[in-house]
Amino acid sequence: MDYVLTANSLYKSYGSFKALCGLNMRVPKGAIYGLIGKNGAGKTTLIRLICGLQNPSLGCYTLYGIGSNSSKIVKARRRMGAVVETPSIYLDMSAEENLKEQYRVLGLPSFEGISELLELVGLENTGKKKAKNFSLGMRQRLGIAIALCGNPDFLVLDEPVNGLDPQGIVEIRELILRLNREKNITVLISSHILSELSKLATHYGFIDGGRMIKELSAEELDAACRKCMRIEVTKAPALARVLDGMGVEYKILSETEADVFAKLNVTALANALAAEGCELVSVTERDESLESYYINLVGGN
Amino acid sequence: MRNLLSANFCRLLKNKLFWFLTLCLLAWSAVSSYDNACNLINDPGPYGDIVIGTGIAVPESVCFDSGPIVLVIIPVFASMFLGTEFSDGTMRNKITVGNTRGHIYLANFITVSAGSLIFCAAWHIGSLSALPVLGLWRAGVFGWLLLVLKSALFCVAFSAILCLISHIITNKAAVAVFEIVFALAVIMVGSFLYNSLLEPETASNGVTVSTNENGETVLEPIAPHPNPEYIPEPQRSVYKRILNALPSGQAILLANTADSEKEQLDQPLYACCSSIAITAAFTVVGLLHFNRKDLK
Repeated sequence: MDYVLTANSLYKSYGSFKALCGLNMRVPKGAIYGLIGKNGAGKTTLIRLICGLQNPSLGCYTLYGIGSNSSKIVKARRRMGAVVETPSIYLDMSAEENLKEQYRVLGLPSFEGISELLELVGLENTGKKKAKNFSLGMRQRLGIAIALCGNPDFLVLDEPVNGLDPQGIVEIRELILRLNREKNITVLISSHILSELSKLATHYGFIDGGRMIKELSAEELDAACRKCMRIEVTKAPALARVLDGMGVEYKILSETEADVFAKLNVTALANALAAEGCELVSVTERDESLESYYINLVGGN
Repeated sequence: MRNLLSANFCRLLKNKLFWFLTLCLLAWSAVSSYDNACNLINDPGPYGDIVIGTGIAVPESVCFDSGPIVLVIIPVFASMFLGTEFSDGTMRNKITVGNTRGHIYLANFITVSAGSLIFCAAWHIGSLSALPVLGLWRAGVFGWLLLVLKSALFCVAFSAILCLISHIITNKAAVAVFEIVFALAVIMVGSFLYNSLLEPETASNGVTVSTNENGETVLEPIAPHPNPEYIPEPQRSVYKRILNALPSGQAILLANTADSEKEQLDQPLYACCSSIAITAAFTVVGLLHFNRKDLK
């Protein structure tokens, strides 16, 4: 698999505080990679390192296969765009002027494509309105438009829906999906709003205490979060025999517990278990979401 | 770096504060130079034997008065222009898309220096209003150009110092306050050094008042005596060196170009070399600092 970004044992310290402690990650090409973690987990620090705003204390990362210690990393960064924390825009300029300024920074020969970019982010009708008079959502979209100048194929978005109203959240989500599907842009996105992230991400990285504790694809997460019945019995082997007899999919969790991925008639199950000399202790329906998966993973602290 | 300079200069040209300050400086310099020139002609003060164009009433005595004001205006502009990069976060846009920090720092320094030079130009262009009243400069056009070059160099040196401060303190309001206070402080230091060096070696002013045998009041001039405020060697040489090295010291010397006493204080070649050295040293320190700085 091709990876746009890999991080290998990345460390970052601020004085005695360790923000990143040997973090590893892989962002596949074409993915929408959701970075999940609580406040202070190291998400923004990681993004700052990737964007070159800070240097790792130890370890390295690669962008398009080019190591962060190489001088060529500067060239690799030309293929990426980023919105880190707040959108980076000149507040005393209009949306168009902001984009023109970024075009100049990139050394693009003409201002071709600016109107398309404004249209893409829904700011085509802002005219000469200064960015300081924009709503939070408009600023966020302008920040993304600036990040898209120069047609990057890797977009890094740090909390892009923070503080947005429901309409703004939907707009940003649709924009990110469109960029990923239509322009095949790989997106690394960090967010606290897990329900929102679950509608976008194709891959997830769970970060806690400066470490990557779990990386998995959306399919793997779906499998892990499948709707199931958690059954507690006195003898798991007896339960296994009964379930085999019923021809349903299940997973034994312990000597007394199993997850069953099918809807069962509880009375029939209890009778079958009794015939095996096993008691049914409890049955609970489980429908794990990204949120509960995350809480289970980090221990809910 | 060409791209960064192009972006910076476009932003500079659209900067309303910059043009407002430039126009204010131009107007101030023009009005004050003309006004001072008229006052000099109408009220020559202790120099009763003034001959226009040869004595104290020459354009040099009024044309360079605004130097210290330029040193206050430059930090207002520099802190606002560079502070925006950090407060609006636009510095991130430059780094994220692969510009090296060295290029970003140098582009910022060059832009702020260019802004300072435009202020410097506004100051000198405005001061030409004294010429119709006082005639041409005593030192001639070439001499005037040398003084302009000297002022340009200290403006660039001051820009280098402010550029470093703006990249250390990234809070826009804090850097604006700090830089303006810093500018006032260096002007005060320059002024203190200049005034200390102007103290005469001996003091002979004043009279003693006594009453003679006939009951009449007698005034007797006090005999010259050593002035306790006079700065002796080797401290004097150190003061002179610092005065000529500091951008504020150079501005004060320039503002008093026509004063006969200052002739022995002015070290133009050393001052120019100091400005170049300050520019180089602060830019190198700034580059080293900015390369290692953790940005947010």
